[in-house]
Amino acid sequence: MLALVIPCLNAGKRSEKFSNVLKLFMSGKFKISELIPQRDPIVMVDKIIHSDDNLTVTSFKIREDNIFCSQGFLQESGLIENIAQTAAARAGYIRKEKELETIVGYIGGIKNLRINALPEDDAEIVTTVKVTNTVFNVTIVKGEVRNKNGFVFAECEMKIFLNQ
Amino acid sequence: MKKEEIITKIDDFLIDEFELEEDQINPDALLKDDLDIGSLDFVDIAVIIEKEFGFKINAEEMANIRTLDDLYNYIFERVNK
Repeated sequence: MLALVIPCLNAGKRSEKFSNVLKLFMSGKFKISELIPQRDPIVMVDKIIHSDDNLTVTSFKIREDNIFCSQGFLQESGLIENIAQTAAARAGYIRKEKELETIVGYIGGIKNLRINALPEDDAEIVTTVKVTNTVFNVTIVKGEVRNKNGFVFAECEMKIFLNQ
Repeated sequence: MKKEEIITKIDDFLIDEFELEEDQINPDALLKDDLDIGSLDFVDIAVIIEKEFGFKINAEEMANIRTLDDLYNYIFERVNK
């Protein structure tokens, strides 16, 4: 998985924060439920792999009983929710560092959505959100959902309102 | 920057991004009522202003912009400050 993630990252920024985040999750200090407001059965992120000033990467193992799965595949709505929750995990991580409560975010809009394929229900997906802009209380991100080999299942631009 | 340049950039953006017709674009058009530009769309306008004209706007300033001409004038004043 690291081989997939690392080419996306700026090597200069990567080292210190990457290891800090890894340490936190490897030690089990944070659970994903501490970073996002969603709860089962709608949780669509397992863990954060990386987070820095502009980029957050999560992974998620799709289980066949996932509520967004149908006929053996994660549906489009699940891919979009996964991108949104990756953005939520990013916001949660940043707030956690500041010792603040997680907050609810809302998808304000989706642009340039492209779904290339649907992942199977036993797949592990790796999702990146890159912050392209922040305007007022809206964060604009570019999201991509890939498999371990780098194949892009879905991508879009998303506006996310944070209810602060 | 001349006001004509600003008008051209903004009009092109509105037509392209919000699929407006050219005949809808006139300086007196109310952004919300005539052009159906909602609060979410203002985010896109703020982004294009930053990208094309090089400054960030804040929500309070945006609240005073009601017509297309208000928008042109606001950008013109900020750019030529």
